[in-house]
Amino acid sequence: MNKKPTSSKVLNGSYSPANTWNAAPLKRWTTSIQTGPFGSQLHHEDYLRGGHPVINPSHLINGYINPDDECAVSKEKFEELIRHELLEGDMVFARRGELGRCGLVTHSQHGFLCGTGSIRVRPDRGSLQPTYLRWFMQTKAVAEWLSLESVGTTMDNLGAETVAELPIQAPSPPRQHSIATYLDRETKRIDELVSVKERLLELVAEKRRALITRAVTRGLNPKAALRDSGIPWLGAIPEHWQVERSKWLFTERDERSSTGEEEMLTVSHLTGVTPRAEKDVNMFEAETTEGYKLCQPNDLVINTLWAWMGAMGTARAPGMVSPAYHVYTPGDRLDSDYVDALVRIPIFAQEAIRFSKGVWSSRLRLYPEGLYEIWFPVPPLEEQRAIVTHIARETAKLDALRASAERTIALLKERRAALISAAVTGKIAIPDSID
Amino acid sequence: MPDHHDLANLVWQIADLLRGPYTPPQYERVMLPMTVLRRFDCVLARTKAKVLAEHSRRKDGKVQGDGLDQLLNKAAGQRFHNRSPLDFDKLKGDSDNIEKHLVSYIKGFSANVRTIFDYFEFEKEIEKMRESNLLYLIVSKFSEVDLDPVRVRSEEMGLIFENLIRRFYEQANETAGDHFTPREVIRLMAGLLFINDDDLLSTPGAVRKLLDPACGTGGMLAEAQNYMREHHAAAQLYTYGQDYNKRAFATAASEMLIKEVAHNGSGDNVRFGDIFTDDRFKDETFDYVIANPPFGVDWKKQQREVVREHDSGKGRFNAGLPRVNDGSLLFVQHMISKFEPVLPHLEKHGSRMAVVLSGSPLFTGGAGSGESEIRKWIIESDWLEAIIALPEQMFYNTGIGTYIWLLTNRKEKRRKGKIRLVDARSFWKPGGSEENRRSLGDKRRHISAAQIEQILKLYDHRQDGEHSKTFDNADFGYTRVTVERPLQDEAGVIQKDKHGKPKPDAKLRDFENIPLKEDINAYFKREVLPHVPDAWMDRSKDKVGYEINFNRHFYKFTPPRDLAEIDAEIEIAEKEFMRLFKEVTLQ
Repeated sequence: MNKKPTSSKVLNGSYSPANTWNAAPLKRWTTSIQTGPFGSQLHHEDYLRGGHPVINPSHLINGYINPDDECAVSKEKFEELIRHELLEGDMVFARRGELGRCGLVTHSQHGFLCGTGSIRVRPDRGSLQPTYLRWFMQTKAVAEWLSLESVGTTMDNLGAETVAELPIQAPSPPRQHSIATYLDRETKRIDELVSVKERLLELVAEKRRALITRAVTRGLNPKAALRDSGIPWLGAIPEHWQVERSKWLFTERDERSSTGEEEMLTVSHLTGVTPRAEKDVNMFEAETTEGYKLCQPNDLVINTLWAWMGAMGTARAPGMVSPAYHVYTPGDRLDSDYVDALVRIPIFAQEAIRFSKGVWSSRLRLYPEGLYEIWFPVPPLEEQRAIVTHIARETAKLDALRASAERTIALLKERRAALISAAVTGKIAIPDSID
Repeated sequence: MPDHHDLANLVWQIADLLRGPYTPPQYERVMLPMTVLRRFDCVLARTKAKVLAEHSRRKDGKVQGDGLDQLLNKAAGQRFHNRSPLDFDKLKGDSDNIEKHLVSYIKGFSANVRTIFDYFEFEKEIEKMRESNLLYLIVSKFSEVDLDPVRVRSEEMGLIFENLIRRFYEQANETAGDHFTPREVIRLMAGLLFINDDDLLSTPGAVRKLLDPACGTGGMLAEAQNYMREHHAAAQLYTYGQDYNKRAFATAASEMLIKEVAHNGSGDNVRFGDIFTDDRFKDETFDYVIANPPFGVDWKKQQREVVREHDSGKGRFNAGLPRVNDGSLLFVQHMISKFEPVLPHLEKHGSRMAVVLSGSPLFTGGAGSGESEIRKWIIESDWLEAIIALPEQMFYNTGIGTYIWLLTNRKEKRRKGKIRLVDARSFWKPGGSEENRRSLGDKRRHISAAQIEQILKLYDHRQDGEHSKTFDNADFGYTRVTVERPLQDEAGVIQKDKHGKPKPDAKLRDFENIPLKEDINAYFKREVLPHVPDAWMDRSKDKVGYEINFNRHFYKFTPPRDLAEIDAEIEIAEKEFMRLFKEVTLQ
C-alpha cells in the first residue's frame, strides 16, 4: 500500500469562523474504530428472520441505517460476535461500494450487529457529536479525500486504518449540536420537496401508460359506442373496430444475415427496439453474428425470453437481432407504429404470459405458435394513424413535464449538498439554541 | 427420560467431532450408519447370548444362507440378527483393535443388514475415521447413547432417525434435492392422496399398501405413515420403496428395520434398483403410489431397454416415450403400472397416486409427440383428477416451479370426466421451513401448515375461484389439423393431380390447433376460410394433442386507472410542491 502521508490539514479553511475550529484525524475524536467480523465468522447461512439485524453497506442510506429483517442473526450468534455490537451513537461506515456511505445508530437500533462489509466508529461524545459526524461525512470533500486515499489500495475497499486518518474539523460540541439540528430541519424540508417531485414523476409515468392504453384499446372518441370485444384483455372496444387473431395479421420473417455486418438491434420493455450501440449496459457480444435474424423497418420484433416482461416493439431501421428473437412482418391492415404502441402496454404483456411456456416464471418463452393465438384490435387504418399522432403529441407534453421535474429534483439535491458543505465548514451563520 | 428431540440432539453433537476430516455435508456418511448400528446393538442385546448359542449349534449344520438367517432372526426375536461375539461394549473395551473388530462386528449381521452397510459404503468411512484417529472416539460416544427399545420405543426411534435424516440432508443443500423432499410438500401430498378415502381407511383392520418408486431416503414413506397414524389409527399402511442411489437406499432400508414395520418377513420392502430397467416390484399392485422423481432425469443410458419395453406393447411404457433428456413421464407410466384394478367384489378398490413434477411434463411436446401421447392416454383414460401448482423455490437444489399431479382409477362421481386445477403458486412464506427461516440451498420458501389446509380445501371444494378451477378433460385437448393450399405454376395456374384435385403446396402448408370441443368444420369455416379461401384440410393427417398451461387459466389483468383520476393526483402533487417550496424560499 502506497499511502501518502496525511496531516491534520483543514479541508476548507478560507472562512474566518472555521479557523478557530479543531482539526484532527478521526481517530483523535473516537474511542474505537473497528472492522466488522471476518467472512469466516458470519455466513449468509447464519441469517434468519427476526433476529439481531446485521448492518452491511446496503443498509446505509443518507446517513441513516435501514435494517433488513431477513439479514439478522440468532441470539447465540450475536453473543458469539458481541464485540461487534452496535450502540446508540455509533457510526457505521461502508467498507466497499460507494465510499463515505455511513449511518448513525439510533436508540432503537442499539443491539444491532456490525456486518462484514462495515466499519464501526465510536465517537468520543465529549468532543465529537455523532449527529454532527453524520452530516460531515456527507460532504463532497470527504468523498474526495476517501477517493484519493483509495489510490494504491483495492479501489472499492476501505480499511479501518484509512478511516482513522480521515481529517475531521469541528467546533465545540454545543456548536456541533446546533449545526446538526439546523441541518436536520433544513434537509428534511428539501427531502420533502424531492419526494413530492418523485411522486409526480411516478404519476406522469402512470398517466403515460394509461393514456397509451386507452388510445390503442378505446380510440380517441370518448363518446364512441362500445361493444364487448369478447377478448378478456381488451374488454370493451369501439363498435366499428374489428378483432383478429394475430396469425392473420403477421407473417413470420425468418431471414438470416450472411455477413453479420448489419446494425445490431436489441429489444427492451422500456425502450422497444433500438440499436444495441445506444445501450449503456454491457451486454454479451456474440463471437459471430453471421446467421443472425434480419429485420426491416416496420417489423415487429419480440425477445422470446423477455416477452413476458413486455420486451417487444417495432423496428425503425433495418438491422439484425439475436436468433433467439422472433421477427414478424405486419400485413396491410395494421400500422406499424400502432402495433409498437399496442404491444408495449402492460396488459399486452400480461396476455403474452398466458401463451408463454417455461418451467420458471422468470424464463417463460413466447413462441410464434403462442403469439399467433393472441387477438389484436384492428381499428380502421386511418384511425390507427390518428391514434399514433395523438399519442406522440400527448406523450411529448408528458415527457416535457417529466424532464422539468427531473431538473427540479437535481437542483434540490444540489442545494442539499451545498447546504451541508457550507454548514460543516462554518461558511454560514447558524444561530445558537436551535431545537 | 430424554425424548426423541434430546436423543437426536445428542447424536447431532457427536457429529461435531467429525469436523476437519469431514465437511458438514459429509457427516451423514458416518452418523446415519452409526445411529443404525447403535440401535441394532441395543435391540439385539437382550437376545445376544441366545443367538450366539443357536449359531454355535448350527453353524456347521445343513441349514445355511437364508435359512440360517431365518433361524437366527427367530432366536433374536427380530427381522435381523448379529452372530458376532462382539458388541459396542466389547468394541469400546479394546481400542487397539477397534477397526478390525468393528468390521468383523458388521460382517456378523444377517444378510439384509450387511447389504445396508455395504450400500452405505461404511467400510470406507471406518478406514477414514481410523486414519483420522476418530474411530475409537466416535464408537465410544455412540456406546453412551442409550437406544434400548424399552426406553426408546420403535415409533420414537423412527422419529429420531427421521429428524437426523432431515437435519443432515438439509445441511447438505446441494445434493439433497435428488433424494430428499421437503416435509411440508410430502404432508400436502399425503393429504391429497388420502383425503377421499375415509371410508376405505376407517374399516378396522384395513391393510393398505403404498409404494414410492423413487423413495430416496424414505421421507415420503415415513410421512405417509405419520399421516396415517394421526388420521386413521385403525388402518395399517404397509410402505414400500425403490431407489437407485446406494446411500439413499441404505438410509431408507435401515429406517424400515429401525421402525420394526412388521408386515413382511425379511424386511425387504425397500429395494435397490433402477426402475427404468429393473422394476423390483414387477407385477405387484398398490393402493397408493407416491413419488418425487428427479426433475429432468436423463434416460439415455437406459434407452435400449426402455425402447424395447415400449416396442413390446405389453410393458409399462406403451403410451409413448418422452424425449431422452427428461424421463419424468416414464416415472408416471411406471407408477400407473402399479394401479390395482377396480373389482369391488374381489375387495379391489383401485389406486390413488400423487407425484411431483416440473412444469415441463405439462406442456412439452406437440400433438403426436411421446409426451403428448402420454398425457392423452392419462386424460382419455380419465385418470387425471387434479394438478396443484406449487410455489417456486421450494426445493433444495432447484428454484423452478413444481406441480403435484393426482391420478386415480377410481374418481368419485363428481370428478368423472373432470380435472381440477389448483393454483397455489402464491401460497408460501419466506424461509426454508417453519422452524428455520434461513434459506436451505435453493429452498427459500416453505408452505405453512395453515396454507396446506387451505390448499386441501381448494382442491376439495366444488366451486371455482381465483385459485381453483374445474375443467372437462376435453378442455385440455386439441386436434392439430393440416391446412393445405394449392400449388400454382408461374402463370398462377393451379396444378392438379391425376384425379383432377389440386396439388398442395408444401411451402404454404400450415396447421391449426382446434379445441376438441369445437366442431372442426365450423371452426375452419369461421377462422380460416375468410383469410385463405382456397385452403382445404387434409384430415388424414389429424393428430390429437393435450397440454396444460397454468398461465393460460390463472391470470390477472391490471387495467390502468382512469385518466381523470391520475390528473387529479398530479394537480394535488403540484400544489403540495408549491406550498412546501414557499416554506423553503420564504425563510
